[in-house]
Amino acid sequence: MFYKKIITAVSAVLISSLMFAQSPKLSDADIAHIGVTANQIDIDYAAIAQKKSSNSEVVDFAKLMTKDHSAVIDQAVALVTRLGVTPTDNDVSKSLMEGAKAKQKEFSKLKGSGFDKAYLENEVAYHKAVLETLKTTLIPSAKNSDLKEFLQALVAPFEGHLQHAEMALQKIK
Amino acid sequence: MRTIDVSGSHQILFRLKTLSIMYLIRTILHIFNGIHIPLLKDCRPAPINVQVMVLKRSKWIIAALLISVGALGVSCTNTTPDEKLTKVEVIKTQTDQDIRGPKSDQSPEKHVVTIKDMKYNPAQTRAQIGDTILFTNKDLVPHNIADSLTKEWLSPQLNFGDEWSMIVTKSLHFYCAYHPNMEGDIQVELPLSAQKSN
Repeated sequence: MFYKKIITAVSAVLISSLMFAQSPKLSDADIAHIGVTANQIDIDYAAIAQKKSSNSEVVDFAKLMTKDHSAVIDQAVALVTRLGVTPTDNDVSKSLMEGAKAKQKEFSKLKGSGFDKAYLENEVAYHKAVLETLKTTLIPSAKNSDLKEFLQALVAPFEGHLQHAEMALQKIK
Repeated sequence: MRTIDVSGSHQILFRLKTLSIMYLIRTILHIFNGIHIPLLKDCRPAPINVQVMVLKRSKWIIAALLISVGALGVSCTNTTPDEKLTKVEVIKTQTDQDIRGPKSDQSPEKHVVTIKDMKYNPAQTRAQIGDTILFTNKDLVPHNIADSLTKEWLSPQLNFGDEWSMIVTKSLHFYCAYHPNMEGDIQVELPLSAQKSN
């Protein structure tokens, strides 16, 4: 119950930090940095899960997150290189990293089934937040058509991750 | 008994046609109106080398003449029986294509399945044994093709832009081993020739 409250609170902070992206005007360089940061955060979560969990459902999901989000970062780097855009750190990216550090600290205190559940619950909340931000802020703000197309192409895989996380969570409950 | 002398095959054919028409008219008048016309009265040819039997009034002769008229009629057309058969076959082939699409029994076809937005598109591919299925990954995340029955991977990992092809050997239900919600089918169908023989 205690963990659930923490997860809810952290998720709320994370979502609000992502929603913050709606207010400032974001450049393509900002958007590129936010995109790479958001993917890297989920890779870092997955690394922790692969170390701490012995549940095959959780480990397999974590491996998939590492594989998919690494591929997205590779493609993002290739795109910004081709476009000549240099990702620039910004308030949204900083807020995302701060929320991720808090979450990692929380994970370090958990183990066993408690960790498995917390990890998957966070994956559900995180992907929901990222999808919302993609659809309502990042995609509408992107000026370059290739960048906009790239962001649009992220929606289906992230929706797939969300469904996968929800199913995995059901299995371990 | 009367005799008719003619020379050359053209004259024979001409006289046969004339006689046939005469007999037809005469028979019709005789049957329906009771009018009797004397046979061969006004079509006597000039005497020359070849002798032909005189035609007597008989239903068998009439039947034979009717057949000969039919044969002459057929011989006057320009289309050979073989040509007619060929035309029928072409029409039948076009009908099959209309129903099943432009398939060929002879050469293997290539079918393209594009992976995009976490889906195989098309999800169902109808193919014949020996056809090629080309998978192209246009998703940002990696995918693969695995056999749903054996759970074995059929393809290597396909990153963005990667392509992989396979030859169809059987019907197959496949999925992505990374994202199990992604599924597709290859349905083997018999070639046209096999369908016809069945």
